[in-house]
Amino acid sequence: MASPFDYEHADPWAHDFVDVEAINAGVTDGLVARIEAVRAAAPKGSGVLRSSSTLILGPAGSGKTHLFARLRKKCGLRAAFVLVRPEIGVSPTPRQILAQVVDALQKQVISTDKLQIDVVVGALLAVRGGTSRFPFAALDGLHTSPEREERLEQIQEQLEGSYDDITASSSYVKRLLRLPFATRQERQAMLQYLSGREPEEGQLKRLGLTRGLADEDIMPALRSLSIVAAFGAPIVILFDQLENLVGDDGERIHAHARIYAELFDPPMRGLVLVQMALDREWEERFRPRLGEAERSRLESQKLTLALPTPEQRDALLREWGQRLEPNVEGGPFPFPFSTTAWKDWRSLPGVTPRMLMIECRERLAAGGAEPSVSPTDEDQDAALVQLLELQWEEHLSRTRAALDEATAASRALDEWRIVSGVRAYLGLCAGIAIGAGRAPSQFSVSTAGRDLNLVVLQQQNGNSLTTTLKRCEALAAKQPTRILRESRLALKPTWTACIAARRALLAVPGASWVDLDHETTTRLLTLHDFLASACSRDLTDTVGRPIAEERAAAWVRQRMVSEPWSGILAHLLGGGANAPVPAPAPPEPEPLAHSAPARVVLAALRRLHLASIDRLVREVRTVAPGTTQSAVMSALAASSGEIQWLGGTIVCTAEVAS
Amino acid sequence: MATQRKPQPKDDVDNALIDACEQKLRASRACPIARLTSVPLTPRARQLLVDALVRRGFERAGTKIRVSVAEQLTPVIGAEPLPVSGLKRRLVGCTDREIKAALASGVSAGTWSLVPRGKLQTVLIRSEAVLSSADLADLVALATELSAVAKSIKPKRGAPGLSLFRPDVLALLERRAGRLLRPAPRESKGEVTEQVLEGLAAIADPQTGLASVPHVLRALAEKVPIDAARDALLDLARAGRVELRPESGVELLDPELRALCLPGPRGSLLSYARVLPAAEPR
Repeated sequence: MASPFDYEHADPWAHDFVDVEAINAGVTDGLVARIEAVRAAAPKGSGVLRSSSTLILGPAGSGKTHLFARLRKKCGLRAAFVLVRPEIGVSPTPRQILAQVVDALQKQVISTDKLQIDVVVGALLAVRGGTSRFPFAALDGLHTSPEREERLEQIQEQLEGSYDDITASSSYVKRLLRLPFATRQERQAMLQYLSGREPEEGQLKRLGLTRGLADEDIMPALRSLSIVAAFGAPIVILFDQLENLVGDDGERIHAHARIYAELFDPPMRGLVLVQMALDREWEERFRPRLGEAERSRLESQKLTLALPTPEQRDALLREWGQRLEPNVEGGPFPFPFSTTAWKDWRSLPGVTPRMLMIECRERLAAGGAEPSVSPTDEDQDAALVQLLELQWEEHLSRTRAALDEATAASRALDEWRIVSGVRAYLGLCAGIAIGAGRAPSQFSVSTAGRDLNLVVLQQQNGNSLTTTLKRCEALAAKQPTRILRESRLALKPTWTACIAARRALLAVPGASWVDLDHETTTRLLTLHDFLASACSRDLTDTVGRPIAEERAAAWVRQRMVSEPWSGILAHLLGGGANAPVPAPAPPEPEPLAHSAPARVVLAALRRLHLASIDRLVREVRTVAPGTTQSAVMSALAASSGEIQWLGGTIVCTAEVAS
Repeated sequence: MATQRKPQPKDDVDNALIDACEQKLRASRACPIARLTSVPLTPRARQLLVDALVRRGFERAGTKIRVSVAEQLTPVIGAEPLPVSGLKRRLVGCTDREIKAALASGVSAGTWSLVPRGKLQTVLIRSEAVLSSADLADLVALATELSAVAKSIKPKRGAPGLSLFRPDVLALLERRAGRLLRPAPRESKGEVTEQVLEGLAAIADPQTGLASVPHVLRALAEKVPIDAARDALLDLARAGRVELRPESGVELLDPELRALCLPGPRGSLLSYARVLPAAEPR
């Protein structure tokens, strides 16, 4: 059973956690004051409202991620929180930031079942209604009101009167303000649009739009979102794991600095920006790359996280002690330390909360005695490998959960997630040089004297995909190009133009198509996240010290030699692992190419009893990703004796019909 | 004839019993748990007693309980080098491996130093008699440079013999071994403390107050011996006047700077210091 000492890595979205508020109270109060300043400035108009910037430095384990969780707890409904972790190998873009902001706004507010995005809108409505304290009451009041549309339009007009940016993206604000009142499907479509992702054709139709947000719409959208939020629940964006941006050329650091400056400087208003970094990494690898103008923004205010004082360590130990399971035979304070050992530890220099927690865990395992003697070097090596294995498994299960969630919602993964996973993997392979691409979804690879473009296409909108495929065709005419796409995102048989564009692309010599299966995608994304954790010193060894990035990378390389990794390189680059050659064009997408066996379809239908075809297809895809609608239709046709059609789109089992 | 009954085992422990056991343990330094008390105890009471003794700083080692290895080592290790191989017979109830671990922990905490002397490994209290890590780094650098010098004058077949310019050699020795041969005069503890605080303030980041420990020690090296400055930093940290912070990017530090960092808890290195508000020099 887990003890309070098992959570050495804070969960930024936790609802219940141990917190000694006195530790770094100054930093917390400073950030809360910045949030309140935004709330106070918002009604005064664009002449007064500004964004703020704070840089927080601290050693590994000093509580940077914990600070995020604490701020959520302290602010409750008075702010909306976004945690941005840059991807390794991918330069951040405004579209990526908008998507991460809207994704985070769909997280729950601490200790409630309400979503942050509803709080953002509700808080604005409440403030405009004369009270800033009850955002949900404001939402509820408007939910059933016949004058809702009128009221929302009135609020938007008022906003436009004070802020020009709202006028510039009135379509975006219109949908944002109506989001809390939307039906489930409308909401899904709105969120897809608001996040800057390309909505499917059906979703566009539902929203009354012809296209999603273009590149030039993204920054105005972010500006409008931040202004809307500033009235009641300002958006706090915390950039964590900035170490992931460090590279040979500093290009990604500059890309981050450029975006950060755009988020900080007017006309952007009302954001509370916070960066969190390891002190040495910032001073040695980040700061020297920045120009004066960049520094003035990124280091506008620099704070450090303090280590706990002896009294704060007492308080931490008491709080943890209260959370020990009743079946743990503990003792009075300072259990699991002895009185003499605690006397040393409470004033020992350089103790971070994470170190203290690990020491407690080891002492608890030793029954309150001194932890066992240091193992030999060989034992330590074996234990380290075991620990890396364990931490890998934790990352793997997190990725699996995220992928399963995306599969269940029939949502494509973001292209940059896959690009960063593939780049992280190829970066560990010998003899491969990775170059930049013209767009965030593409990059180039040189190996064994051959150059190759890799393009990740995840669009779920047929028209948009068709356009991109045509661009890829032009690209492939110049240089061999491989298209990567999740296998579960099969082209729909109705996308005739798209299928034709794909056929034309694959007819170009040097063009090829790679279906990324569920397992390969999971591994690539896990690899990226694992290396990102190593980069930000979040992987710890047997005594709680951060594991060096090189050590973690070496361990992953060893793993990559064996199954099931060994086939991935050839799969990604084609031909021999070190000599990629264009793979022969795959056959045209036959509707039955991914044919799910009839028994899978029937089993899914039996679980649902009665379902629409769309619902049934989604259910089948949870078991057999990549199954197309026509494959399901064929399977149903083959099982006509066991099913019953109710009209043209609803189907049920024969037992239910009878 | 009346048979002598076995006394009933006690099911609880009181402070008097724990005090008596502590006294007995302090005298014998180690004792089997079963023989701690003259009265029999139930398993529960025995466990309670052991837990209480552990909380008072004793260590449980299998079926025995003892004064901790570190505590037993403290009076044994002095200012003169003592062979590590002879430690076991001076302690009670400790294995070689446990002694080695306790020594390693004392060395990383800066209490003791391990010093090879001939074929023997010895241990002593860390003092000026032991070279600091900075002096050691200088010594190793001197050896490397001397070896390069020796290589440069190695006679080559058919070529005339080579020699060295005396001032060059003296400059090399002065640079690398000058501090070793003529340690700076010891200043009073208070003066060193003030100088360290001033040194920290001089190079601290104006916004965060963070100063790099190796850079401070280097900057002060002319005025304050490195060991004295390190001790002063540790004293200031224990007194809550300075915060010493662990290093997060050890691989980013060059080895000479790394050698100047202070040892921290759980094998960490303390590389940044920050003067806490009440302790800034007036």
